[in-house]
Amino acid sequence: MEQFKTINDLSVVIKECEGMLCRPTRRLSHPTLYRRHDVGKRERIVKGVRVKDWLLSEDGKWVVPHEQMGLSFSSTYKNLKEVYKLKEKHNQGKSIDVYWVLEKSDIPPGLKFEPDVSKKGHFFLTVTEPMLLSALIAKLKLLAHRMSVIKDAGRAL
Amino acid sequence: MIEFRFEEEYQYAVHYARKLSDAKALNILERRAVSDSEEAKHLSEFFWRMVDASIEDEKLDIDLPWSEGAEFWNEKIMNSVSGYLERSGYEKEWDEVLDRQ
Repeated sequence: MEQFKTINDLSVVIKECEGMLCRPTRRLSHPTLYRRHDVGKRERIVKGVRVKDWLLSEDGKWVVPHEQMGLSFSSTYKNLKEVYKLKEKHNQGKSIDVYWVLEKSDIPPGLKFEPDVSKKGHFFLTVTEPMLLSALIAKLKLLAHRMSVIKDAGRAL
Repeated sequence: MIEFRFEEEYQYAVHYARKLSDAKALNILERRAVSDSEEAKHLSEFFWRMVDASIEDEKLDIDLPWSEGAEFWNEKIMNSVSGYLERSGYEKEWDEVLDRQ
């Protein structure tokens, strides 16, 4: 896959790359894990995993499969534009980059993209089997290493 | 019907409809539906006003009853509201308001 360093029209890129899933991310933040400054001051994160994103066991140690819970990604230009604009408003003056990954080839085992049943172009990165939170964190780090980035995508959106 | 995945989404949106004294948005939220294009546009505009108001609240360190931050709830509500408007034939209204942001 060609690495996109600069683009003129992100919508064309996304249309041409079937299975391209994107995630707008504030510059210096991590594409799949949250840091304290990424979330509300009372929001619960465990080693970068936002608790409310996932279905966890009662003791909080296990992640339980749920087709409509996980990390959010955009599969269409339109949904990406919506999320990007929202993120820009929440991070005024900060650069927003777009990290992307190919659905079919770059996903660690035990993870799967599932379409949001109520929102076109929105996907959840879900777990397919119960796994320890520590295992999910390791897989999210591995996925992040496989992601490519489009810097300052706002010019194209 | 607007399908909120979390009940807190509804409570959060109602909180801001009241805070912004937006009776029309409150009425739409209570019905969880729009009845025409004008209401679809109003709901879309309310959404982005709510985003701006919640960002101001965070700057002022105003505590809300929910643990998660405004960005989390705004993104959830955006997917719920825009998904509903698209399914109901009001995608154009949502997109026009989005393009003004």
